Amino acid sequence: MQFKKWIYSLAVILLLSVPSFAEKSDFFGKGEELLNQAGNTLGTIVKVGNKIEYTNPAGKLLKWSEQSASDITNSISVAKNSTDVGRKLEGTVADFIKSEGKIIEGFGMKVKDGIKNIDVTDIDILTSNEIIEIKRSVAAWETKIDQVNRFVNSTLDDFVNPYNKKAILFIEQPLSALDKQKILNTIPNNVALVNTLQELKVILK
Amino acid sequence: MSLSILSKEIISIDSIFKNISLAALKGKLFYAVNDNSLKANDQIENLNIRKYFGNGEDDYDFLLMEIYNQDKIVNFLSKRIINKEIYYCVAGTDNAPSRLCYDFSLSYLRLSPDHLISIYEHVFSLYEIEAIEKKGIYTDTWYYDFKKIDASENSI
Repeated sequence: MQFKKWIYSLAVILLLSVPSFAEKSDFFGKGEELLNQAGNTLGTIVKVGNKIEYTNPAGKLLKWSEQSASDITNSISVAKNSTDVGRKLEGTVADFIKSEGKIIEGFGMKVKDGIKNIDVTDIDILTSNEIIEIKRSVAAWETKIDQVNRFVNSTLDDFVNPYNKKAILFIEQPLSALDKQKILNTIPNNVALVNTLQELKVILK
Repeated sequence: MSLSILSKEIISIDSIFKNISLAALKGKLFYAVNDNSLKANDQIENLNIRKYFGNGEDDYDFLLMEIYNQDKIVNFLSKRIINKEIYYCVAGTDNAPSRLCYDFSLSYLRLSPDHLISIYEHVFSLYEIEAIEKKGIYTDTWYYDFKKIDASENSI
């Protein structure tokens, strides 16, 4: 009899501790936030429909659209056949990464300011472990030398690497020793500079 | 595509900002400046220029223009030597799509005809892009096709 009473009390406690059905989504949202704060993510991520809403450590809300596997495959195929040599290069590198057995999680992703809805940056290639910026030449890199900073400097307004993936800068044009030194002196230490697909292959996890 | 605005003189950031803004306006392009576009070093980043091709939320191409400060122009960025004259890169962007580069370049060079624009290593003036416009022969590879179209018009 005493045991039955104990079981009954336990059941009541459990029922009271579980949120109602109407509260469940909020409950899971908070759970995700707690997980983020526990250190798995830099900032917080919430999925709303097919949109990812990311509040980075600087407190800025950024958003982007989730890409399906078929969307990514199509985009890579279109890029590979593009007459734009920069776009074609992005497609070629993505295809190479796929051939190395890696899954591409994002390709040519538009990242927008979540409040103002204007563009903040784009992410050329996202894999499970890497975030990759593709440049055709040193001159192309020079037009936006700070672009890779937003992958590694979490104090920036436009920091956009929630899972702290390895940041890679791929430059296709063969680099002179001088150019290489100039780039290495400019980009943050935790961004890897690669100059060939073979170098990229070595660095992919 | 990588697009750079080239000038024989180092012009003020205010002046280049005005010209880029007017070029977007006259080129009938969406244009937005963010409240953090002006940086502490006086550079201007992420001038948001879009060209819509549909009615969906993401049905547009875009570029994010940067205007460089004097220190960067002089001490960091590569200079171009064109017809034995030094040109400085005063503003630029990367990952910009072809048609948007074309529309912006045409509009910009009409406002600043003494400047040049380069798409990757291909350099052109108002003269070349105006020739494409007048002949209505735009293609996705316009920035190097114009050299094949009429070599005699290449005056750079």
